[in-house]
Amino acid sequence: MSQHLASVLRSRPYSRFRALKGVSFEVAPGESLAVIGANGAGKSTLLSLVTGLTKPDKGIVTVNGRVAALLELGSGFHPDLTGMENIFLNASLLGFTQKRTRALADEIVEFAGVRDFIHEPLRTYSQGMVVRLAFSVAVNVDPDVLIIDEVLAVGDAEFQTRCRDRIHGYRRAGKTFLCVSHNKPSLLSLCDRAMWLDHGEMMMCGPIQDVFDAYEGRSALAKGAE
Amino acid sequence: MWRGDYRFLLKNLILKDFRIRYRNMSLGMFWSLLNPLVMLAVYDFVFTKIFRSPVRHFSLFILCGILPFNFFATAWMTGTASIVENAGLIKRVPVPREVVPIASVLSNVLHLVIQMGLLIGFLLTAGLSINIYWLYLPLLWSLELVFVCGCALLFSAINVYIRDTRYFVESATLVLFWLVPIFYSFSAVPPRFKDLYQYNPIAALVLAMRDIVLDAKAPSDVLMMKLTFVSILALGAGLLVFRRLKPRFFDYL
Repeated sequence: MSQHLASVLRSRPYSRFRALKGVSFEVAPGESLAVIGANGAGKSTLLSLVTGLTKPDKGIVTVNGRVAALLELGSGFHPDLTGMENIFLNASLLGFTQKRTRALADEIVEFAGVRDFIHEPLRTYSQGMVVRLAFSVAVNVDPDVLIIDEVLAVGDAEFQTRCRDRIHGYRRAGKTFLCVSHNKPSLLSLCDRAMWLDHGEMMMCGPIQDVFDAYEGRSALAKGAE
Repeated sequence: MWRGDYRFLLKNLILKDFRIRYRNMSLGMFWSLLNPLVMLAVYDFVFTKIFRSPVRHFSLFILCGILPFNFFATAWMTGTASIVENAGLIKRVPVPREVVPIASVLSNVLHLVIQMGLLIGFLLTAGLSINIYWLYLPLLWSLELVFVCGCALLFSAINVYIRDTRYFVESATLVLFWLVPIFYSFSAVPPRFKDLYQYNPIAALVLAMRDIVLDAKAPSDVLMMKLTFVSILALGAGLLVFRRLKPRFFDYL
């Protein structure tokens, strides 16, 4: 207890562990970047920094335009609120005005395909339905930068296709897309560049196929060594 | 970073708190009335049957004390816990953090409105009426809100780093209960403490409410000035500390 108090008062974080070291990159409008790497490599920390949830201890992050991030399954959603109430809550969290939310609510519900349940509490939804609703809100905000952390894999095949179409259309409109996933096929279809993180360091950043080749080659090597 | 509609955001956060609190209750909003009524019945029994308090309109006298105190205690408590309880939001959505404790405080306002209705009911049955000085009440309650928001900002931020804060708040509320003239009158307070008493915004509000509701007179200027001074001071301190502490919320939640 007193140790905890002392560390708080000295305003030091819990440990000297560095989640990211010397990572530097740029993503242009219309580009999409996949972030890959093993668990604990710093992928989610990277996305949190870009989203503006936390500030780096050293270095700077500059983002131009409105960011919408889907960092976790149904973050900002509450199980006791109905689907519609959650849409309004989330839209306001993402920076919508009331007028725009009203105008878009229908389209959000339609895209998510949960119309029959929209006035039911969210706890009665399946996981897939929650993700569909969350994704539907996020893409309909029309952000300049869309950030997605490992949530796309949950929807069914039909919904995944629709998401992919939406993200492709979104990129054609000159918007930026950042994505963390362990699902290679969906990353290959959505992103043209990739960054490989390992223990907080950037191993490689370039065309997605090259990065995957190097990443998988190294993983295979590591397995062989064992 | 976050550019959006603050009013819409605040409205939705307040609605969320509100809906979550009441949706799973069978008595719902009725609790807002039941709680002061039960307290009132107990006090009434103890202080008119056992201690034989000479105060006229005892129910109204007590209500003028309970309402400000209850509002402050509940809003302070929920406000203090708000950041930790909304950790999912703080860690995943880049909303301006100040909005969270403020919304949590404001979501208690409906309680207050209902309880003011109760007070008016008692007022009319006692044969009193609403007088011109009631116009002071919106100002008084606004100052109270400013004060509570300041406290909520201050303590919710500290609570992120030191989770014992909420137990401190619980104990402090208990102490405050006796330091606010809820069931004794201000005239019973020894003269040398009277000045100090008025610096406590909850006590000041209770005194002003009694002046207005029971004695049909305006609260004194000195009292109003003290209330304004302390409320603005609390909000300033709350905002300042909150700003200093919020960059590390992410690491500690």
